[in-house]
Amino acid sequence: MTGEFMDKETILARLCEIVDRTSRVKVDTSLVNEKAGIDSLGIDSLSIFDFIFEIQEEFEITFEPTEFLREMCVGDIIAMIEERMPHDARQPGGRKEEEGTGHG
Amino acid sequence: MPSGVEESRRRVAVTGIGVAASLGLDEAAFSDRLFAGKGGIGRLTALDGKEFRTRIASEVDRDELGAALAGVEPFTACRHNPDPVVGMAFHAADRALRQAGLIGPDGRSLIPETAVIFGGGGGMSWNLFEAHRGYHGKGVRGVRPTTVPRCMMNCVSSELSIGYGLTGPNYMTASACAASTVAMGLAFRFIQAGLMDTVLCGGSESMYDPVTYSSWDRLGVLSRNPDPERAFRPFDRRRDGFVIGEGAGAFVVEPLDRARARGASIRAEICGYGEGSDAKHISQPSVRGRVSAMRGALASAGLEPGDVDLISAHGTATELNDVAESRAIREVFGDGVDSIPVVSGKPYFGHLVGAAGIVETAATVFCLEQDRLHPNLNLDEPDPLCDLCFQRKSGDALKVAMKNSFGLGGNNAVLIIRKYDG
Repeated sequence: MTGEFMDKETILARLCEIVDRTSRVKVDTSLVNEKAGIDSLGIDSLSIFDFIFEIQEEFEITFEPTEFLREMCVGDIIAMIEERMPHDARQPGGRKEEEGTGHG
Repeated sequence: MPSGVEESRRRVAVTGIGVAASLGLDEAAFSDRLFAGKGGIGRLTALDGKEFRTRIASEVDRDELGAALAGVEPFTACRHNPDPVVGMAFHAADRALRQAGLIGPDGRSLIPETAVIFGGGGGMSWNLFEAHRGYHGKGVRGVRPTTVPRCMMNCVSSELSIGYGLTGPNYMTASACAASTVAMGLAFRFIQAGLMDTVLCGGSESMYDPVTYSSWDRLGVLSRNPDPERAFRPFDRRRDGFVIGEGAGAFVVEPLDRARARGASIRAEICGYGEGSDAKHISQPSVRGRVSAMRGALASAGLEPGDVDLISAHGTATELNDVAESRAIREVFGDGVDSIPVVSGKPYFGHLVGAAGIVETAATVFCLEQDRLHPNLNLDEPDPLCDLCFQRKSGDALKVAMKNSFGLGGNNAVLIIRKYDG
């Protein structure tokens, strides 16, 4: 994952996958957009920890759970991810993912 | 609500049965293969088994399980829990509750006061393995924050309670290979005594994570027979240990009168339960402990040894178990044992440890219902030290069965099951 360029759309798609595998209820992720609030993702007080854990694993970044606020929206999370991602991953043409190193 | 002790000594009915095993996820498929003598044991595929001395397994078809669970709404909340123990438990429970007619249109239980008592031997071993792998890879930050609720011993019973909206007590019995028989025994006692009115009981087990499977492999109790289909051979002269399987089973049990009143289909009665501990050795069985549990079960049912038509053995195909079990059976039944057939279910679906008792009891109920025995798979030449009767010798109907379960640690649990004749 490290160094792979990701635009907002790619990050959103991966966030939707994380929502789908951490929420204890079924969520129609096709309706998730940058304006969607965390509360609309079916993430409860327990699964929020799995949600954060999976984001860290997926994007190889570090968050403190306290940085997540319930009033945040998906766009805020994407911004936090972009801010912490390696420099290459924020630039078009950044280093591509090496085969076999992704978390998928 | 439970009706109180004034209804003590109530008869106890089984009104729903669900199974998940290598023989199938559907009761009919399971039963067909059982009576056709077609086992479900094969090569180990769940793990890269190059290092293991034994590479034989009895695996549940994960694709089939996934497809079956797709329609089980109460499973939604834990659909991403990777431990198959949870999914198999939901499958078996859903089948049992549906068969008992206790599932409402929303997929939840029509009797919210239902209790859940499930057995397990190894617990959430896959999830624990994942947590250890995370820690060894990245330290504390590599451990999933929800590891505790995913790994706690009561994960299965609590998730079933939450999924189906069951507000009765829920807990797990941890007594190794006897765990789900203990779960059924407790359900029987609670209902018989009027302390509970509906219990979802059973067990679920999967030990195909590298560490747990290695542990069994290192214990030296697994068969090393090169032919998977012939490997598991209880009471046979050439037995050399068991095959670890994965699976789950669930029963709905309730007072017989209540089941009749609501028009439920009654599959069998549980009419006796005996239990106890060897208090001798962690892995070497005691004949005395087993005799005591069998006699306790008969006394609980108000029956004599001569009333038993069928014995479903624990039958692990280890040197120690099969001889100790044979000696115990002979001590309890005397010469009468020469005409009481002994059958073993494990060669069909493996040793399911914490789920062994419930799945083998399901197989025993099928025998009573159909008035026939499934073949004693791979029993070609009985060990002279296991001097029991392995064939049906009488034309009398099969009405009463004894189910033996004996766990590592000296945990002995024995049920008496009676055919329901209406």
